[in-house]
Amino acid sequence: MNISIDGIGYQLASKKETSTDLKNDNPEWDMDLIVSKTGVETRYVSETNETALSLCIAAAKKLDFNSHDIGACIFVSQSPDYMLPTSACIAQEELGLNRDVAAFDINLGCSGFIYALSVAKGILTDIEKSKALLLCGDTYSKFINKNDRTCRPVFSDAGSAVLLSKSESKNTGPFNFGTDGRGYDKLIVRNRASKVESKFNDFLHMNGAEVLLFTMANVPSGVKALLKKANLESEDIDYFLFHQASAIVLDNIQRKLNIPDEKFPRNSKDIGNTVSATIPILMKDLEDEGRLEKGQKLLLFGFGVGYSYGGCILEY
Amino acid sequence: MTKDELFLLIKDALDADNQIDINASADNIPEWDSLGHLSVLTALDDATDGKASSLSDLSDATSVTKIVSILEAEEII
Repeated sequence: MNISIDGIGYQLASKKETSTDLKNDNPEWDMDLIVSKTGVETRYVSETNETALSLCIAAAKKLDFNSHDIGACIFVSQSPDYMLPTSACIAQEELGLNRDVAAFDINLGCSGFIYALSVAKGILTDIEKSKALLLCGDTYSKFINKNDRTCRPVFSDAGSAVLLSKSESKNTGPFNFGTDGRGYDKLIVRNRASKVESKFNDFLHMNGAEVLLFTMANVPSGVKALLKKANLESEDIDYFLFHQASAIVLDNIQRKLNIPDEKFPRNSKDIGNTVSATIPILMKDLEDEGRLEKGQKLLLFGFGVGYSYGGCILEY
Repeated sequence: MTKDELFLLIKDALDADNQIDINASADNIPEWDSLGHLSVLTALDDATDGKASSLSDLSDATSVTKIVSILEAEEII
């Protein structure tokens, strides 16, 4: 059994933040230089009452589905409403899903959409109901110091919702996954969970150079391994949809894999890095622009915090 | 890669106004800030056919002396 994507919705956080806003808070920042490296000109920041869950629920409400058909609701986030309970349980209630639904969270960041696709495929194989909701969202801005020049210009808040169905005709997979826990502290929020580390603050910390090295060392090789596993050539792929990390990261990946611009879409200039939501948001934007059509073969690849990466081939 | 080629690579990556030599570092090259260092890393990665990305010590090697030391140890220069 395979899965198909029946619909995608997304909701950006309500406050739009421009380079001018960042400059006002940080007069010493050279915004032209920052934009040239990150590729991000605008980003979205959640208000106090907006959370990853509320944004994902808003995104899901844009989709057309019968709640009786939904057998699984998976919420991918690293900024849940509560330490417990599981946010997906709240989504089940707020979306009016039946109570015979599997609802659970996955704590992953930029690779999370790929992992959740694989998990959803497995669950749909095991249940009678025909559809699953995959919610990916984060509000990293709530963890970011307004003077942090590494994180603030890049990250953006959003929620996405993807409606998945059992399919006999579409091919999903193969997948490949990877983890390198040596990099756990290179992109981290401390002191907001159980472990107390008093010498550290509780803001998002990113060592951009270390994360870049991880990406350069693992993503191009991971993509090549995935193509080999699928017995495909690069030319067989209609679109390479990468996690929209930042321009400097994407430029390196594109250059190393020699992917032409028309097969390497980007949207981070206007939206920023929305963590696990970047790939579904990119797919939705492509679809709305009329560039993404049913039956096209896509290579999806997410990577980042953990370190963690995951990729898959998907027939849209 | 020779040392002179490395100096030129770093100058181009940083789009630096000043010449880069063995004494250059983030302390004396204004363009060599944390964002500039990312450009140095990607340029090194391109120039070494991906070998540089496996050298994690490069992440905080913000001086030419340190970079030369790391690359010499790996016989890249």
